[in-house]
Amino acid sequence: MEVAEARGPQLVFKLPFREQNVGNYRLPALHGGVIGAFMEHSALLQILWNMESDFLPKVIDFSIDYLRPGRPETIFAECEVLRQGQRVANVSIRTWQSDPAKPVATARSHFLLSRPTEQTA
Amino acid sequence: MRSSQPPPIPGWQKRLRRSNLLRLWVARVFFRSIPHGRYIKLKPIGYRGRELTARMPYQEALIGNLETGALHSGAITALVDQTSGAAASLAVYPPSMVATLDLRLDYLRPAKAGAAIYACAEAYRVTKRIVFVRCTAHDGDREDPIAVGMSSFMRNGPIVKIP
Repeated sequence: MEVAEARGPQLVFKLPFREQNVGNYRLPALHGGVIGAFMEHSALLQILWNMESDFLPKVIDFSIDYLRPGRPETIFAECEVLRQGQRVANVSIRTWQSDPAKPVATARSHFLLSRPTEQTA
Repeated sequence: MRSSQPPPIPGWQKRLRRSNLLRLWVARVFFRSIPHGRYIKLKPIGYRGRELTARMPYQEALIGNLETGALHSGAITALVDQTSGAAASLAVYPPSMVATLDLRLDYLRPAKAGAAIYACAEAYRVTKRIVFVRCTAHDGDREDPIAVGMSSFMRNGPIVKIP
């Protein structure tokens, strides 16, 4: 996985095709878990790119909608940080392959951004 | 009235259709056929009452946090996705391919370093077109899960009623 381009604060991630990422060899199609993991990691890196912190954001929940099967080729992801607060960030992620107008999957996710402070305990 | 109904299904076939062992065997064949499943070493270990359990051993290649040694949440996504999909395709008769519509995961706590992860996926509702699956991922104690997932799948195969 690598960063394909950076449009200002917005990063575009890409995952080149590898044989081990196949989920269905008959179609063939990418593994849904690979697409999910790719989107999660993209969102994580986008948040790290946006903020300066030594705390690794933790994923709270992740909801994926699969729109079409992923073909065995490079897949791209773009994350939109809808809200990045002090404690939690809300990110929406979109993936596509050769045609950006045809998304493969979309996801919505929450990330925990900081350690719980001791004062509130 | 009775003559218009389909011929009765023999008892051995009914038992076969309900057989958990057969489904576990189908799950093993299915898991072996998936390149990514082989890569992250997923293996089904049990099937009972529409619930499939699969195991993922702890692997250094899948670590997400180098400080704690916890596995990357993406590895758990792949485990839950594949186990839920397999549970959905085994809950229908004959076992057939399903397409994932959506998958939602709640990560309750990080996984313990060094522990294998188990995913228990139960197809709790099967309709003519859609299968609903809930999945619990844990590292040994089912009452203390790492993550819970809810997913829905679209059926692609023929629709045959399980007797």
